[in-house]
Amino acid sequence: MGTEAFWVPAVLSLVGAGASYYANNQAAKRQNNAALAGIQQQEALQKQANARVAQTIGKVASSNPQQYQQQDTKQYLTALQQARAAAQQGYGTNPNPTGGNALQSWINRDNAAQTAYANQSAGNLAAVEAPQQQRMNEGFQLGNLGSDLGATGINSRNDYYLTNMAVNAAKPNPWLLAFGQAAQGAAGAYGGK
Amino acid sequence: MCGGGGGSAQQAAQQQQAQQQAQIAQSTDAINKIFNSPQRQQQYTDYGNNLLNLYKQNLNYQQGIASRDLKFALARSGLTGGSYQADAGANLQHDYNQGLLSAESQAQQGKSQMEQADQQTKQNLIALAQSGLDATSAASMANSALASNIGNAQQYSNVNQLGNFFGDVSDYYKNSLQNQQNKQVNQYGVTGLFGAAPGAINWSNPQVNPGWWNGHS
Repeated sequence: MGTEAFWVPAVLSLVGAGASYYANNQAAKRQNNAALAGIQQQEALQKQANARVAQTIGKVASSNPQQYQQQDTKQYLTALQQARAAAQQGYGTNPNPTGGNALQSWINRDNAAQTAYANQSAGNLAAVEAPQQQRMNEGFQLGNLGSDLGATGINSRNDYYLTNMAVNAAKPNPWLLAFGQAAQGAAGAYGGK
Repeated sequence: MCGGGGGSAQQAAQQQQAQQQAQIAQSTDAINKIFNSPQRQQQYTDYGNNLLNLYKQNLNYQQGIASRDLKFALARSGLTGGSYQADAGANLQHDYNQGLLSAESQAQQGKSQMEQADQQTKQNLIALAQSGLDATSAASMANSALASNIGNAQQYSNVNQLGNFFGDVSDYYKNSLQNQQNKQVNQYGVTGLFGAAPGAINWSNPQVNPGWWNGHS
């Protein structure tokens, strides 16, 4: 018996181990690539979510009550203007001509006082309601942000499951593994003769 | 076991995690700056002042009517210039002061309520910024906070919240009117089928009957 009793099992063992290593290494690379792709997808979704958060923060930062106050005051004054004729019906003009100028001037004074009161009320009410509307709008912004992040979260979870499946599917080549094990088995058998 | 470049996915994950932490810190900082800004603080002060103005305007209006009613009621009862006028004037002043204190207190409450609502909004926004892609619970939290914010803030813009502080004057005014009508009825009679004799007993309001009737009902 020559030296082949020593080197043949050694070579077979090396070839078997090399085949197993190669199969496992390739599988690890595929798993790594699948995980990397998944992480990149998650990163893209995270950036999308971050941009949406930043947008809401920007809107809340720039919101102020003045924009609502001007609009509300205008709206209230218009409503008062439209209702003035109805409000003064029977009182806005002299109901008794015999009252003369004195009564008319009294009526005029009261009308002017009521108009001033109504304008002041409109201004005060608008000043109080404006910050409330501002906060209501901020609440809407938060609700919308929550909904949008929820939708992005669903995409994220779907991608996560797909990535997990891809990572788990990246298994070593069974034929190559079998070859490696067979070679190692043969090496053992040859060495045991 | 096998390296196979496995480190790159791990590094990417670590890098992403670090970026996200930095992003969260930046967002949280920005949110805190918004809600702690002098502009926001000024908004609370302005809101409190505006609420007080609204309540005071309503209170002054009530006081104007009550003062006028009192003047006419006193005149109608023949009590102008007497000690009763002095007492009634003091009561009117007392009612006005009570109204002012209540207006001040409610304006402060409204202001505090708005600050609380903003704190809640701030916490929710921070929670949303931190939750990132896992926002389901934060979204429902934000929605429930919105509902309570609206309810809390709106109750203070209702001027009826202040109530009527001059009810006693109003009652006195109404009573004086009623008394005057009753007097007229008793003096001139009711124009009914049989009419009423002058000085007839007022059954609906026995207090206005002549002195000899006191103690009867």
